[in-house]
Amino acid sequence: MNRNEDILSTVRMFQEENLDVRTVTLGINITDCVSSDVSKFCQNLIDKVKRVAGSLVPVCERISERYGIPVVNKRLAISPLGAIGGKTDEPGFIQLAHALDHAAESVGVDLLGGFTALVQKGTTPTEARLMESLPQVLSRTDRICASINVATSKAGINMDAILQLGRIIKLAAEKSADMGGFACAKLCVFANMPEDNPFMAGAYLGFGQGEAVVNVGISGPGVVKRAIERLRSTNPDLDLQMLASEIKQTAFRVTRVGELLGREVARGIGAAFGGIDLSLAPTPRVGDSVGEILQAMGIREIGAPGSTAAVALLNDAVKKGGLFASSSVGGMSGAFIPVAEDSALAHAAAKGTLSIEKLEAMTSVCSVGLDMVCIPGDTDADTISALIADEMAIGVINNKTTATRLIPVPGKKPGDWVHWGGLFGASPIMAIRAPGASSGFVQCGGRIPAPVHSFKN
Amino acid sequence: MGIIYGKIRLLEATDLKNTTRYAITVVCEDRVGLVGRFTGAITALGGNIEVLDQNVRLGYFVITLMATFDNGATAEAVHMGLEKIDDAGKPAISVLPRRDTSIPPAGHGAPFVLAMAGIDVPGNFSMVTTCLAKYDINVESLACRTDAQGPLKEDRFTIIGELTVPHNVDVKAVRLELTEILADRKVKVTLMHSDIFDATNRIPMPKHETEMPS
Repeated sequence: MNRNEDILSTVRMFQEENLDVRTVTLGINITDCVSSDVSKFCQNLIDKVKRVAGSLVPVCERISERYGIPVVNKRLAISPLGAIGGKTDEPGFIQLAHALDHAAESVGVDLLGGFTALVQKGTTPTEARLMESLPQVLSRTDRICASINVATSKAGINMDAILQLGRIIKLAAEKSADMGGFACAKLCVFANMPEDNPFMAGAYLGFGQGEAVVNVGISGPGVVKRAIERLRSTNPDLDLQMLASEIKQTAFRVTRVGELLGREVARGIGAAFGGIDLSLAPTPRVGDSVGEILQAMGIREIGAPGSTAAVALLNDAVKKGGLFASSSVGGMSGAFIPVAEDSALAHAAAKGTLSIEKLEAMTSVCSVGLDMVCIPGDTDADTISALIADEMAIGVINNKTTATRLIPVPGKKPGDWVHWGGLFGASPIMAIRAPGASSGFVQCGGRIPAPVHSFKN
Repeated sequence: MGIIYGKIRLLEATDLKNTTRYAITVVCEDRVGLVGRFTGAITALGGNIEVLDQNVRLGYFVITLMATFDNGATAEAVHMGLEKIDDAGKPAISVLPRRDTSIPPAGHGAPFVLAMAGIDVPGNFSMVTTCLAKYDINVESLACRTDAQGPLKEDRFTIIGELTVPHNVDVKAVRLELTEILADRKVKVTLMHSDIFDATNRIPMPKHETEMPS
């Protein structure tokens, strides 16, 4: 039997602290859909998505109602299209994107990931064509998300691919200029990309993961923030070990809720349960912010000295609590710091306390990277590539996942704001130091070799 | 603490005529050592305790137990034997003969937890339990605490209940009705499957629930 205090504590997490399941993402293997006839390929994809994912949303809703726990997002991830696209040309990839967009809509999910290329050591012609199709794909579809893995600790950093992506990101922004360059918000560039990540825009189903797999993203930061606030208010002599312990316990409970629902959903739709991503994923809603956690921890101005240490403590405690709670932890599993999607971070960026450089430092101790960072629309492609290269280097050298979602917002200058609304939020345009000064390095192209400590065989 | 049913022997029809199983309740002012005295008295009277539930509420000792007496002790004899135990006051004692056939079967349904909290005004208990009864939801245990807030603030109460919800019950509808009937009472009510509480508060994951209410 549970103690009354434990029951009330759990109830409080739901009623007052925004506890939910952030995303249930169904991974679908689409390798059996491939056809050299693009129209046939499209039809196969639509049929398979409808067959495998048709019950995802109703099952999620039914289980959500049974348990009284909201499931915020229901999403799909497919096998990396760049690896199975064969001779598909650019128009063919665009056709496939529209087919998948339609399939995702028909089963009621809001996003579908898997327009993915794994090019860390080299790019195939198919992957190059997929990447070239992205400006059109991302600006002309509603639900398609893309991700490109350009680096691993084992392979090094593919600077040729990063150079190509700098240009593609610029083009995607221009093609969606009427939406503030929104197409770029659906494109993640990764180092050490996880194969079982449920969060968009970087979700895809890796090879070897199975036929249909449910991966779950746990609740957002609100619960952790309130736990810290409660601890501080009741413990005037609070020290950081107590703080870490409280975060661990909270992460344990949050993870358990995710696993309970994830397993039920997987059983309900006849899929395998893949695992839990422990990441704290904020939304623009007040009270659901990683930035506010840092403030609750005592960093009054986000970006001030101490911010990186606070993120490190938070990230580590979340991992420890989550790993104890579940035997199936995967994905990125850390603290997200997406500027546009986190109102506290966005305001710190507007105030000038949070810079791109400080964000980079924080990403060296947590998951993801320069995520949902809006930069001036006139930023040149080489500078975008250099920003990506910096972030990839942090991931490769530290043997961890990092990523970028950079959005050069057309027509906007540092200090201006762009508003997308919904989960994508709003952000100030962040200034870049010495733009245009990195071309001599990034234009060299080639590959940055893998670090010495990656050789473990 | 919940009630555990154990070691109950199924009696033949002839046994029922001379039942020696009693449901016993004792309430008195709390003091150290009362549990030992009462359970010792049951043993001395020839009884075997099958189920026991004891707690202290607002200074009162409350014990409920079920015991069998192989020596054929009468209810009156048990009552008198227990009365002698409390030398400092007069305990309220009830000794009821219990037939096996009247022991309720294990609840059919899923285990849920009810949690209510808010401003303490008369009627909360009855409104909620009446609503639950309408849906054939069995209350397995219910505990209420009231926190006095002083003369300037309204008292606050908390109710935690363990329920068995039949499989055909629409839990969403029950939640909605509970919320509606308490809407003007500054009370928050939550009805959630007990798996959630097990998952968040215990180390082992809950076992798979094969049947749940819709």
